[in-house]
Amino acid sequence: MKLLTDQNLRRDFYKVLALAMTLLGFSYLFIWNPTLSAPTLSAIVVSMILSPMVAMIERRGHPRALAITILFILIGIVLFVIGAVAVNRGISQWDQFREAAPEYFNTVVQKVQALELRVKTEYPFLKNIHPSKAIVNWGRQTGEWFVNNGAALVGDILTWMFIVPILSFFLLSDGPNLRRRFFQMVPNRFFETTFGVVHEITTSISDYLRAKLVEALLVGLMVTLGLAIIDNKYAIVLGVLAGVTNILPYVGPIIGAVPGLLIVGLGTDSGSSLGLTALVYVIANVIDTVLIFPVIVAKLVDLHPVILIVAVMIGQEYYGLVGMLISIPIASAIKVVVMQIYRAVYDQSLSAKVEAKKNRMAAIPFISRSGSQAQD
Amino acid sequence: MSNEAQTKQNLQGNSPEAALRDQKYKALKNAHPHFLWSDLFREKKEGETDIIELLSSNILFRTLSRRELAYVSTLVYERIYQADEAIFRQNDRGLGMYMISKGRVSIRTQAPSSATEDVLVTTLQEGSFFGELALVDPDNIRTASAIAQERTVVVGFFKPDLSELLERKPAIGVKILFQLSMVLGKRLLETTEKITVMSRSPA
Repeated sequence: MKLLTDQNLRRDFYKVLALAMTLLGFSYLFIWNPTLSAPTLSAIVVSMILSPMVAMIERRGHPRALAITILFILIGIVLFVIGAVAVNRGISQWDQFREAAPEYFNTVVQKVQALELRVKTEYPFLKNIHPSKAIVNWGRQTGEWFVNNGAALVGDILTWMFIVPILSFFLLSDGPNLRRRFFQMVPNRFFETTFGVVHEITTSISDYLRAKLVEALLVGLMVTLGLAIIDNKYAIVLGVLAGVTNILPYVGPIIGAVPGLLIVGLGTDSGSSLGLTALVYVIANVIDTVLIFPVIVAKLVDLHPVILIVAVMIGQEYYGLVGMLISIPIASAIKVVVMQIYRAVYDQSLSAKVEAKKNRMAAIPFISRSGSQAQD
Repeated sequence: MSNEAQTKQNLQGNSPEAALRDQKYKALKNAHPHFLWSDLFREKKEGETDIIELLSSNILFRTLSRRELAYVSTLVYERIYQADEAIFRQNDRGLGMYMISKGRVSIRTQAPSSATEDVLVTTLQEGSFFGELALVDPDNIRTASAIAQERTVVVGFFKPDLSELLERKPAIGVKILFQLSMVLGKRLLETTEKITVMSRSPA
């Protein structure tokens, strides 16, 4: 029986080859291509986040294309309203922040210089280390980078605003079709396994993205509200920063709190005290760690912390912010695949199940015998 | 000999009325003797499956309207197996059901005594379906192997797509689930009857 099946081996091999080439071609076009990689990944993220909302509209009996159009119009309206009201305020805060940034920077440099001088008079052997110079250099380089790449950055953002919605629209409307085409190419012997694994992976990725987005929104909202209550002038900007950095596991909340604490700590006129600001961040993160994270995120990811950190760093290295967001779901996707292969090779849970079933079957004659005895 | 296997054989959705309707349908399809007419009205090329027809003749999708069937037909997968190729094997993880569009499929189980030898349980013909328990069983393990006996075209319908259907078009999903529970209930009833008869008969 096994030998006969292997007649199809050559055909299956070609099918796998064709499949691999198709996948490689698509990833070469969309993911490794630097102009398209970030917008494509963002579009995938956006479509995964939006897909349940499309389902919700579809449930009311609208066809998919109409449902997506309705959703996009709604999002457009919401974005417009936000743009008209909140971002104006946020941008003015950002402008203030940007104007004040050199001042903060100079204050930091001065304080470090003073500290350096004091330490160096006390410990002469440290005189070859120049932390303040390093900071000045870093600041100059960052500034130069913005001057040189600012225009390109704006261009990138415009491309994104154009490409991401289009890509997301087609991913939402044609995604199921693409998936079907993909599965039709899979050879028979791997069909059901591939189907199951791919489904498991996409589900885990989109669940994770949605959970993470909700978490970031909630944290950003809490920080903004908290800072607004204690009259911090930069509440919205700092809240957004806290929400975005919250995507990073473990270190994210700390990084998110640093700018806020620095601004207040450097004694500028932000309008609130250091203790209260720290309290806001601590409360927001405690609520996040105790309530939000365990309820909506933690059950989705069970990777070792070291793996999480490494995954995030690799993602940031190659795809920036989007890379950080998708690195963990991709790491868990790889884990799902490896687990499936492990299961296929070592088969422990499966063989245990088969064994249990055999035992059940073996128990049946015993039961019927005892039944007939009872009749006697 | 496993009781489960025999039950499976007796309970396939292969009723005489379905066969009759199949016959009628085929007769209708070949009703135009003139080649011009047949060419004009034939929707699909020879050898391709009319998935909507196949679905509407299946008990699970019988209650769906034409339009709903067209929607479901975008969720199923048509697969072609050569002779002696396995559709699935015993103890594989199961994900969904298969409907036979063309060809024959043999259902085999491993004999309890030896791990290598297969026992033929039944042979399924065009129009029958198998593996539907995997649609609702959360961690399904196939209880038998399904092997194509000749070049066989099957249409697969899988659990993730059923959940998707329930999410997006609950009206269709509920109809399918109702029919599915009817099929499963019928099988349970017949199994119960069989066990009752067996336990009453003298040992």
